[in-house]
Amino acid sequence: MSEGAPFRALVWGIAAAAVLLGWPWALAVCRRRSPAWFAGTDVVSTGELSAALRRAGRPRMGTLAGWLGLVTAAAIIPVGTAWSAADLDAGLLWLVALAVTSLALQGAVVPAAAAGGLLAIAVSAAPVVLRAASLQLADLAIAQQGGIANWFVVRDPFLCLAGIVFLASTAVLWPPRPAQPAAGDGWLQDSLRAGVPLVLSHLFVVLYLGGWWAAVPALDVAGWLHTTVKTLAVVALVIALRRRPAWRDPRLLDRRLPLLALLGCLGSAIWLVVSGAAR
Amino acid sequence: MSSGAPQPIAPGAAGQLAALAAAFAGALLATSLACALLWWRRHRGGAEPGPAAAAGAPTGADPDRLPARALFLGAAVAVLLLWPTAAAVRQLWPHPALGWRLLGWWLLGATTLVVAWLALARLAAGERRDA
Repeated sequence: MSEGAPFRALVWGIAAAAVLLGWPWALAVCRRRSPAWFAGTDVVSTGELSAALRRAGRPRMGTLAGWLGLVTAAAIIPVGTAWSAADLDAGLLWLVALAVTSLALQGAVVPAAAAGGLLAIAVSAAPVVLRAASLQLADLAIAQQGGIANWFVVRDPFLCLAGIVFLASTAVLWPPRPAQPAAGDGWLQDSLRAGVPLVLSHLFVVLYLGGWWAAVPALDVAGWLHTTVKTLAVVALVIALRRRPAWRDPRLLDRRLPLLALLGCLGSAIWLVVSGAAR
Repeated sequence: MSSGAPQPIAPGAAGQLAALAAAFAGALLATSLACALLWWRRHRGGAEPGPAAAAGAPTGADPDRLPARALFLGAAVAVLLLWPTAAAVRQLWPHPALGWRLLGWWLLGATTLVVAWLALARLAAGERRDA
């Protein structure tokens, strides 16, 4: 860790907060341009966002705690080589700790089924950790260097299954809009609701889609650009899934998705041993 | 330890934790700025009152208020307790990274918490006045 690391982390924290605060507005603008694409999703309109801003008040502590956890998590997920707030040795564990704390503190925004979704996502990430033999987020991306054939999503069928479960859980986990607009901290809740799938999509890119590495090694010029494009593509995919009512059913998180994630994890471990790829 | 030399148990751990705390502080700073901006906008008269205030309901009756402050105070105390813990760790493992820099980051974190606490109290007082 270099001397300037804490200052860099501070800047990353501020930048992540700014991006996540602006993200619901970006989604709302996209929704205004292509309403059909967002039909049935929980993306709010610019009018609703403006109304929430006009009614803005002191944020509830639960919302604030959840929001800060989300922003810190977003800051430590790498965007490129050495492009993150902190290259933590056990970054994935920190992410889980932040997610658990956030979910525990802000039950008003994320439904109770989120615990099942978190379990499914954590179990889906386990085979990637087995493959890379590291909990460091940068290591997980570096292990996929060398083109699309090295991305974990295509390494073995069980990793692919785990990746699909991760994506499906992200779609189901998208926090729904409340029946009545929240008073006071509605603006922060909107950012939190829109930010959860964005951060999870970014994590999916790092875990399964090669992180900042291009699909073709010759194109590895701007890692941050690859990460951004891939993350936005994953968000689009999550929205496409979310449009179907079947993928908005929180009951999927009760049993099916965690079980499928477990199948992917165990299968990948067996595949690793049988194929001789285990270290 | 058998030898007299300092034994780094986890090289870079202090730096990593400091970076994580700094990222959290950055998130808190940006969010506080956004809150302050909205508060200023509201008190300048450019924003609607909240639904509760608009309906004439006493916003001071918000059941979330007291537990929220208690939670925040609890978090502040927990952070304050980090210092003796860090001091104990430093005594047990006298690594050079666990020194004045850590104290500086602890002070920054504690100050951020106290300032945020005061800002929340100010906001709550403003809401009571509006009601």
